[in-house]
This record gives sequence, C-alpha cells and structure tokens, in this order.
Amino acid sequence: MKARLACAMRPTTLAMGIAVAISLAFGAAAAAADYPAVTYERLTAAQSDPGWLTYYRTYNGQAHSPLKQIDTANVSGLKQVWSYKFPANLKQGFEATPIINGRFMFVTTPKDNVYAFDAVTGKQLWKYEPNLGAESFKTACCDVINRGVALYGKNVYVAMLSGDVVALDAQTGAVVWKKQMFEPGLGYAFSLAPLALDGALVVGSSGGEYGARGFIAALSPDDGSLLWKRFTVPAAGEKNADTWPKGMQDHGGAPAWLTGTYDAASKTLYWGVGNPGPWLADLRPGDNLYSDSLLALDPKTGNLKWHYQYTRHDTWDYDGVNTPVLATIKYQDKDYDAIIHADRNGFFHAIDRTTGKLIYAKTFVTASSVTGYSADGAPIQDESKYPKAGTTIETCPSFLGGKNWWSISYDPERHLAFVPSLHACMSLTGKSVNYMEGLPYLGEGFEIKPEPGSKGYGELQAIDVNTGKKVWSHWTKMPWNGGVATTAGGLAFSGSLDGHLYAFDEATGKVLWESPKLASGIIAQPSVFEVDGKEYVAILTGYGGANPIWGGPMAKAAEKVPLGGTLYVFALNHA
Amino acid sequence: MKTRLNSLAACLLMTCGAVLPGFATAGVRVCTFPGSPSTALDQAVTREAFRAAGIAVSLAPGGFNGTDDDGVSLKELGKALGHSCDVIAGFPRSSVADGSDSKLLFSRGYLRAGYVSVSMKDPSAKSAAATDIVAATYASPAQLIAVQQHDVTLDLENTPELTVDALAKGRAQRAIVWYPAVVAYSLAHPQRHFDVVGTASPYADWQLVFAFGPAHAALQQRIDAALAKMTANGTLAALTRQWAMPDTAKAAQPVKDRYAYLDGPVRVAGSSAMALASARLPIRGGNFIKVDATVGGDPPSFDRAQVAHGKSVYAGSCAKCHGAQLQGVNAPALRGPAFAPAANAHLTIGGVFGYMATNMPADRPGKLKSEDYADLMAFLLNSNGYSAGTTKMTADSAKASSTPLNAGPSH
Repeated sequence: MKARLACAMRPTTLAMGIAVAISLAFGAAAAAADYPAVTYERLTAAQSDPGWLTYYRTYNGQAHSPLKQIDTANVSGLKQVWSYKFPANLKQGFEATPIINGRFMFVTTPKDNVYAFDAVTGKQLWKYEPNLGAESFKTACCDVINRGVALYGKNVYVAMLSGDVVALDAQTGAVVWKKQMFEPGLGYAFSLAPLALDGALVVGSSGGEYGARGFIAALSPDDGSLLWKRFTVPAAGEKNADTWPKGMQDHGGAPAWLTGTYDAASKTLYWGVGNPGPWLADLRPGDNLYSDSLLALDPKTGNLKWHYQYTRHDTWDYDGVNTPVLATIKYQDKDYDAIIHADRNGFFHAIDRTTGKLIYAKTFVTASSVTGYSADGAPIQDESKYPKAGTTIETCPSFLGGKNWWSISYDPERHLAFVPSLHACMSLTGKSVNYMEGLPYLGEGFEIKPEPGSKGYGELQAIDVNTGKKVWSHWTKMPWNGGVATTAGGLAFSGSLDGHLYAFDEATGKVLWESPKLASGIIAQPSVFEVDGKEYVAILTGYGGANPIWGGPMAKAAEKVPLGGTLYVFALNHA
Repeated sequence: MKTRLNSLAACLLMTCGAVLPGFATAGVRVCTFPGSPSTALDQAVTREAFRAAGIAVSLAPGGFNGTDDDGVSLKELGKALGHSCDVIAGFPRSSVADGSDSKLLFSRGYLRAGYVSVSMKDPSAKSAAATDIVAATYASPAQLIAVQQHDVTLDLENTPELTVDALAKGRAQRAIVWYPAVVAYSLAHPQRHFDVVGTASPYADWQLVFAFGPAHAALQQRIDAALAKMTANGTLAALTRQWAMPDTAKAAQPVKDRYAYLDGPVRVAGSSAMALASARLPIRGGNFIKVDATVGGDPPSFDRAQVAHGKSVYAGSCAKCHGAQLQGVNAPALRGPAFAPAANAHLTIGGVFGYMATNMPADRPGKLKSEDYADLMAFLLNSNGYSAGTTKMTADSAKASSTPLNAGPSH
C-alpha cells in the first residue's frame, strides 16, 4: 500500500517497481523449472547422481558417494558454509538424513515438520508444519522423531507419526495428497523415510512395543491409493501362522519401522522386521515369524520370495530392521551377491541375496543370547537367557542392540562396511502382561549395564565384508548413535553425541578432521552432495531418540548434551 | 462356592491346647487365604498341626479388609497378619515366585497343589466344537501355561471355579486349573467326573504353606516341626488324601525343578500370591479373549496427600520426558485424550499402573518405592479428572484395578 502511494507520486519509481516485480516473477519461474523430476530411472542410477536422492543415497543401501573433491589430503580445510537453527521448542531428536536433488535440500524435524532449503545458500524455501495432535505422539516408543523424506516426480513424501502419508509439492510445500493408514495413539506410528520405487511408495509401520501387528505397504505416488499391504505376522491359516500360539498373532508386533533396500536388477525389495510382542517370549511359544527377520519381497505385490530369521522366538527386543545393504563379496574364495547387515543381536551377517541362505555371521560386539549359527543358518540361542514371569536374566547386547537403526556405509572399492556399534548389556525380568490398546506390551522390566571389559559404550568400526573381521575401530565413552556416509575421497563422515562431526580415514580410522563443537549432539546420518561442481557435507544435529529415554547409564553419560536442532553444511574454501 | 467356604470359616472358632505366650487368650489366630478353594482342607490341617504343636488356635474369617473379587493383595495379607490374624493357612507358594518385597515367613509345604489339565470323563458332556478350546483362569499361572500349549483357543475365566465350570458346561474341551479348585468343584458337584493330567510347565508346581508375620519365627519353627511329625506318622497323608494330586497329574510335572526358590527358603513375594488372584474381567469373543475394560467398578480410592506427594515425585522422576505439565516431550503426554480416551478406554488403571511400576521411570525402571508408584498413580488420576477421597491407594489396589482409565478434565 505504502509502495503504491509512493509510486503514484513518482512515475520513475513506479517503472522501477514494475521491473522488480517482473524479475521476481521470472526468478520464481526459473526456480520452478530448475526442480529436476525424480524418476525411477534417476533413482536406479542414483550412484552417479551428484545429489542424495533417497534415504540411503542409492537403492542398494550403501550410502557411499562417488564424490572426491574433498579427500584425505584436503579434508582438514573443511569449513562451515551455512547453518539453520530450527525452532527452539523442538527439543526432541533430529534423526533425518538430508535429501538433496539439484540444489533443493529437504529435511524433516521431530513431530514431522518438513523444510526445504537452497542447498548452497541455506535459504529456506518453504516449510510444512502438520501440527499433529498429541495423540500422534502417544505410541512413539523412542522419541517423536522422523527419519526423512522420499522424492518422486515433483513431489516430496513424508510418513508421519499420525499415520498420514503426505505428498508435498517439492517447489512450494503445498499438500498434493494425504492418506491416513491408521489411527494414531492405538499402537502404530510411522517414523521412517518412505522408499520410492517404480510407481510405488513403500512404507513400514512402527509399534512393536505396543502389540501393533507390523505391516509394509505400497501406495501410489500419484494419489496415495493402496497398491498392496503385507502384514509381517501371518494371519491364522496363512503359511507360518503356526509359529505363534493361536490368537497371539493379532498383537504380535514385528514392526517394519526402518526403510528397506531394493535390487533393481532382480526386482526384489528387502525389508527388515522388528521384535515380536509382547517382549516376554514365554507368552508366545514358537519361532514367531516373521519377527526379527529379513524379508525378500516382490515390489509389485508384496509377495514373499524368501525370509531369513536372525533371531527366533526373541525375548530381548533384537529387531531385525537394521539396513540390509547389497554388496558383492568374496568369502573363502567364493563370490556372492550378498546382503550385509549388522544385527541388533550382535552378529554381522552376510546373506546370499538370491537364495536367502546365510554365508557367514560373526559377532561385532559381545553377544550371549544368540551364541552362533548352525550350518544351515539357524540362530543358536542360549535357553538360560530367557526370563520367565518372575525371573531375571543377564545378557548382551542390550535391548537397544549391538547396533540400532543408525545407517552403516559400505565402500565397494575397499569392501569395507562402517558400523556404528553399541557396547551395552542388560538384565531382563519377566512379568506377566496382557494386551491393552495404546499401552506398551512388554511383560519385561529391564536395566542397561555396561559391557564388561568394554572401553566405552560407543565404537565406530570398519568391517571387511570379505572376512567379517574388524579392520579398525574408534572408541568413545558415550554411545555412537550417528549414521555414516563415505566418499570416493577415502573419507567416512559420522557425527558423535559430543557435538562434533568427524571425517575418518577409511583405511585407518584416523580422525582427519573434526568440526567445531556444534549446537547439539549428532544422532543423524550425514549426506554428501555436489552442486555446480562443489562438494558439500550436510548434517543435522539435535540429540534425542532412544538413548536419553531408555539408555539408563548411557543416558546419564550424555545428560549434559544440549538439546535443539540445527542443520549444518560444510565445504572446502570457505572462510 | 467361595462364599460358602468363607462363611464356613467365619463360623468356626475353636480352641485347643495351651495358649502361646504373646498371643491373645483366644490363641493364635489363623486366617485362610481369601477365596481359595482349599479352605476346608487348610482349616483341617491348621487344627491338626496346632494340636500337634500344642498351641491354642482360633480360626478367623478368611476374607480380610481390602481384598475382594478383584484380587488378593499381598500388602493386605501382610497387614492382616497382625490385625485380624497371626498366621495365614493355605498360602500358595511357587518356585518361580518373584521374590521382591515380602517379609513373611513360611512353613514347609503341607500339600502339593499344582496346575493340571482337566477334561470331562463322560464324553457325552463334551462340547461338540471342532476346535480345541482350553479354559484358563485369567491373570493366573493357568493363563501362562495355557498359552504355551500349541494350537489351542483360549477361554479365559475369572475364577478357578468358573474355569472348571467352563469345562463342565461344555464351553471348553479342557481346562488348565489349580488342582484344589477341581477337588472343591467335585465335592460340590459329585455327579461330575474329571480326567486329570499334569502340565509340564515351570509355572505349574505350587505348595500350600502357612505364612507368618516376620515376628513369628518361633511359631513358624514349631509348626514346621508339627508338620514334620504329621508327615512321619501319616496324619498329614490322611488329612490331605482327598486333595492330593492323582498320580496321572504328578507324572507329567517337570522332572527337575528348574528354578530354585528365588526368595530364599522362608520368604515369598508378591507375584506368587498375586498371580493366583483372580481379576473380575468379562470375556469377549474371538480366538484370544482380550481384557475388556468397559466395566470394572469404581476406580481405587486415593487421598489428597498422595496427590501432593505424587506431584513432587513426578517433578523429580517423570517431568524430564513427560513434561512439567504432563504435556509430553519426548515421551507421551500423561493427561487428556493423548493419554487415555475420554470414554470407552481399552486400558485399565491396573494396566497403566503395572506398566509404570515395571518399566518407569525409564532411567530407573521399577526402582521407586511401591508407595511412590501408588502416589504417582494418584497424581495421574487426579490430573485426569478423578477426585481424591479419604482412603489411601496402595500399589496393590492400583494394580488390581480393572476399571478403565478415561481421561477427563484435570482437577
């Protein structure tokens, strides 16, 4: 109003005003044209893309960037380019991996807000704030977190604690469609980044602590219509339903709460399944399929090709959701198209991804519940580590696992996997329990204890996938809860609860660079990307997640870590 | 059945032998375990054991204050030891009992009373249903045992009597039930005949004992000696003949005891007694019968002092994750609809309490005093629209409550 008055009095200014308006409009149009549609072809070829298009960067789950501008020689010159501080009232965990397409960067925050930034300047482009009701936060076991978005076409997709899957316009943040998959607060939640396939958006449910029968579902990216939905616990009459006592399947848990991986060549979707419910195994005799298992699925139908169960008849909360990474390995002079996987139960597995047969399983932390695997790949478990109603057992790893959801990275050139691992044990006491909707369904009391003889709770380790043996390790007193991203520059980036982002020499584990102390601890995975010929590293800080709630002595060890979220981007040659 | 036995207990008051120093002139007051089907036997063994020990005895009524059909409260049992009685007869003990916080003393066992699998002798009385429906007593070891049997559909009943009745009336083909309930049912229904076999489960094996307050170690030793004498001279076998488990049932019991007494030779705990308590919960259709929380009577009472103390415990132990105003931070809100629905809740006060007392606070799960948990529950209820009364809430009254927790406006 004021400008118009001024213009009316002064014709020259009016002319200038029009010119500015035109250039602004043109700028918006140019930006719109800039947003490159994310096609199935681009996702299949994501390894050579300069961005970070999908949760694990590529369908194979390797989180390994081909970029090498930043390398072992110059990484010490890495400097902050920009940062963005999220609203101070978000004091929960920031677990999302930044997703980059062109120069658009998308991150999610606790309580399912979505932000879009210019990846180079840090300018906020839009934000989407769903303002979920408190019911949505009721059955989130381990903080009200979100792990990130999926990109497909011109949309950004987020799966929320409320049960909604939402498609947003990537350029404006406007809601394109919204589909609710369940009512919040009764047991289910979404916390994962969806996975975009060829004309399908795949999601999996959380809720293993609330007796919510797990499912994996595929939606149409166009309108959210349901393409298929597969429960992870067979219904009565279905194959393997007899691995449960009758009626216990209905609240059998077995959630599918972490993003899976995909083999575009064989058209196979790999998805991990979590713990059975209730925790107290005595209440559900049987193998309890497909809890703690890896599923190989037909992505068009959700039909099961094969399954592999890491832990049977679990009573220790050893979810099998940790990322199944596709890797070509050579073990004992034999080549395999394998899946490598660091399980909660403390074993690092290599599995033939065509047949689902175990190639090897080796401990990467102290493991006493599962003690080994038989020749045919079945877990061997110590019967004395099962609590009964009224008895207590001690075992390792703890219910948080030898490794939790934190993404590993795999460098195919060096055949090294970089595994954030957790050294903790626990006592478990059995209690009788009945299912009640909306209430945790455990039947066990628990207490975390340090692993005897361990140098700390946290260890980032490099494992040679051709032998399953540890090559180097980096120990910390506090847990190491951050994911890893590696690059062809020979670097492994990973952040610590101490508030520093580190660059390790992939070959030796030597710390070649550490960031200045950032605003909070790190529990997210960095992503690495290139825009206009320049390489960047992005990381979310914001301590939270399972550790401060359930970590016991590990929570205590990290209690001084400041809360609140900030997004940082680093590059070379910045003042 | 239960009522009959209890009123029988109330009518009996007999004295024999010399009065033990320190006890009222009426002699040692012995109560029976509330609601137990073995009451008649417990009283017979009491009379004989105290006669053999040369101690005067009076049999007090079995029901104590604060116990009702919702469950037997170990705390109330403890309190009853001192107020209404000095000894509890017919106290069930198990080797898998949770040995947490009882200071009671126990005699040797006078009857092995295990959980058995029962079916009808007369096939014509059996149900025509195709599936194998197994009746079990809700929230008892029977439920734990039944759920471990393969390929069965559960019919959960509220009391051991109803569990046997489910079998007798054809609602189930088999019942997993405490053997004394079978005996009591057979005595009341002589026309019914059952086949009894054992259940091979660590939860199956129980003994009936006498429970004493912590101050009565001398009495406990004298009764133990009397029971030993009765075992040696055959008196005990004669008294318990009708109640002894048949050989068919003993055979299937676990060969070796996998679990030592966790609570030491003369101490027991909460869950052994609690587990036998029956909850008043109706049955729903379907394969697995869920807890239906739509009925359950009045919420357990709590008083203002508990709310005030619970509030301070909350501030110290819970607010960090659940928020100073119970609004939820990284853990859920504990007031309003985000905590519990305003109506038709499927969760009960006892369920919420049980989870809280086992798993909360998350950094010290189960480590607060049981009074603090009760006070926290009082504060939570008060914050969700429940008014304080004059009676204190105990951990046991909270745990036993099957009243749905509906979140109303805060007080």
